[in-house]
Amino acid sequence: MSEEPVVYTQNLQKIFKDFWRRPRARAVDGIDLTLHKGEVYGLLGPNGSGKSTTIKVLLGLLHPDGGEVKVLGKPPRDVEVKKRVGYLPEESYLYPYLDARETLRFYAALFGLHGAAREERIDELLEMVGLSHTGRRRVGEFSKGMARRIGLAQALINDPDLVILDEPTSGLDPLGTRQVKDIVSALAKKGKTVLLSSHLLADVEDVCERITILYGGKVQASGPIRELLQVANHLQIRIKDLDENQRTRLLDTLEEQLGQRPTLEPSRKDLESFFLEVVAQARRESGEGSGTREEGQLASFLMESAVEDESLKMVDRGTKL
Amino acid sequence: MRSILPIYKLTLRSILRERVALSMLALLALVLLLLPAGLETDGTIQGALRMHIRYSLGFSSFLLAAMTIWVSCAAVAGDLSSKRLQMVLTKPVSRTEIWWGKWLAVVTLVSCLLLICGGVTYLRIQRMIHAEGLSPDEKAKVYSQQLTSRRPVAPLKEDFSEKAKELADEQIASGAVPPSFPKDAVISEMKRLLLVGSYAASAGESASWTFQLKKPLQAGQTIQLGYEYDGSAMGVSQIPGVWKLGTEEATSVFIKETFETPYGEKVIPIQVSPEMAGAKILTLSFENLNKEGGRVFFKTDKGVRIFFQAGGFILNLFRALLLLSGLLAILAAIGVSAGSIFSLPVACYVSAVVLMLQAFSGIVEEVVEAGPEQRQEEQSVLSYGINQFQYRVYQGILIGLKPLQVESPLGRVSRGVLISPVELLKIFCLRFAPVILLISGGGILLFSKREIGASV
Repeated sequence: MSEEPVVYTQNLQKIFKDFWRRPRARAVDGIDLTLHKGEVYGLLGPNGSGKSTTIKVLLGLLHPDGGEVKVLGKPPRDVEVKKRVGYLPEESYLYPYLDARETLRFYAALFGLHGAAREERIDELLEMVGLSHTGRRRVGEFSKGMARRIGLAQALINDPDLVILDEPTSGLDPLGTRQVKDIVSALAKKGKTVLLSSHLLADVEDVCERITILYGGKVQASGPIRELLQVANHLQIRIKDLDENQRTRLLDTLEEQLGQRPTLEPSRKDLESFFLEVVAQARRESGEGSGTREEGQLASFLMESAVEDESLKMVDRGTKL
Repeated sequence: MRSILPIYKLTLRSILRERVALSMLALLALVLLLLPAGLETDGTIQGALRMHIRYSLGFSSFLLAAMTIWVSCAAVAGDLSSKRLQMVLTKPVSRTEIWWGKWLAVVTLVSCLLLICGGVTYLRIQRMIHAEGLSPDEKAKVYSQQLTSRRPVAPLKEDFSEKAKELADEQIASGAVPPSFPKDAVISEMKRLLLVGSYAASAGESASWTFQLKKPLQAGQTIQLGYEYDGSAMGVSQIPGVWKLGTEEATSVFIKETFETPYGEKVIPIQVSPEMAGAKILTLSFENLNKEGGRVFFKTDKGVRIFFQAGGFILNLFRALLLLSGLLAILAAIGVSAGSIFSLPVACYVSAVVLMLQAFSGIVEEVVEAGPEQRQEEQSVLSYGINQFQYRVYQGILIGLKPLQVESPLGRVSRGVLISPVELLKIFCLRFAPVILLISGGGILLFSKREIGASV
């Protein structure tokens, strides 16, 4: 790609020091990252591997001790950069005495959004994350999942070009998790860049094109997810509607040809798909549950021109659970 | 700077939701309502008014200062420890905007509370005056001496430099002062003694002062002679004397005999007679009629003054509250800066130390004025060095506290002494504003360098 990378780090270093300025821990040790426009990038690693530290450096909260960092072509602390970045931290650190609308109003005001445009955007985001009915209920009384949803809404309030999501699905039920993944995909379709950090590997696998796995502050593996997950010398054959007789004949033929008898297993849905089907059915039959409501349309300001894209339409349908 | 407003609004809401701040507000309300009932006065309406203004409102101001420390430190340090500021700092908001937004919110809140305290005190004073069953004369006295604002004119200061030098030389030559004693200290002490002497009248003798007025006196105009004995310097219960006020040509136009206790400020109202009209220089003398007793001492700072009517009480009270707000604004700046650099407990400790130093600045000033200790023959170099170091530390503290040293605004209001708008403006522009800018600059600089969310 000839375009300037959205996120670029080279040999990024971050050392935490003690009170006497002596090195205490090397949290990030020579990380190279390059994220391009419209890409969903996964940052994986166990606790203490340097994911959050890397993210905080990219957000300008921490200063790097070495290497180069550029976000949207500029140093991360540049105010112009911050105008184009959305961030959801690993915990939703919200002001507990504000309600959902007031929370979004506050963050919108920091981006200079005012008046009817701001209110319209807030309405859409609240509808999108299923919190439009919470009224004057304070954020401090929200469940963890609801707090994540409002956290996600605030991360998107400025229609950012780069969205950094730290454990976005933590605390969310499977419906919410599915919705977050759909939103991430929709953002990528619109040309937004998403950096996703998560412990839930299935979530990352579903939405990310490329990943980097960190351990001890160093890159352990990096590349397109399909290539990294490919297992050499293992093949999978998928066949629909075989009766018992056909199965036996197939196994006999393969045994004769290969010299070993393969095993046959029926194809299975993944648990998430099954769960979503069951809940969708239950909703159709009994109406709403408590807490969050059925999520609405993806916010229109996040769709814009890409709305004609067929795949985006599918995503849009997916959010109407 | 567009983000200052949302930060300001949010901080205001945040403070009003904090349990500690709300507890302090409740305590403030209790103090304001209940403390006056527990104050012991000297039995006079003047004393009761003075107590209400100085102590009831003064204690409320002290509580507000404590509240200012807490809310200003918590405004940033609290948000940092709860990690809410992490979210805010990822938005296009500069740390300068955060500092000023938080500071403005704290100052707005404490200033409003201070004005409310002032309003409640004023209403209470009015109620007292009307409930006390005072005679019209007494009421008039209260309104002309206390619930008013009067511009004080101090006597011309004599230059004792030459005389002090001569006396110092005499003392050194006569061997009354050890030769190792620094001459400057001797001269300084001589100056102090000469000043005290100029405000003292020996038995059967007089002390006199000259006043230079800005505008000539007008016939029929009422002025006040205000004086205060240095009661601590005398062992008498009643002082008989006679006051004489006049011009350079006629020194005894107004004569008044007095016989009174040496305690508290006394006021003699004087109606300007045609003989004094047009005068710009006044002479005042006090003759000590207590021929058997000792000398009479007046306070050397504000012991003898002439007052001119200069406005109403409410505006004067308002200006005093503004001065206090200015001091609270400096305290808020210290708190917000400390909260931007340190954790909440450390920030509160640092701010509280500054408040305590300010409260005890009088003691520090006395220590500095007394000068460094002289080295004794048997004293070790180390002990002498420590003493010198301590003295320099006190000097440094005093220099740092200088901008915060304002003559007690409530004390002045309680005595009906004018705080002029010009004086207020000067203090704000030349002392408070530069100090706040300096503290904010340092705080913002260190805050900008601070890393947020540093954890392994």
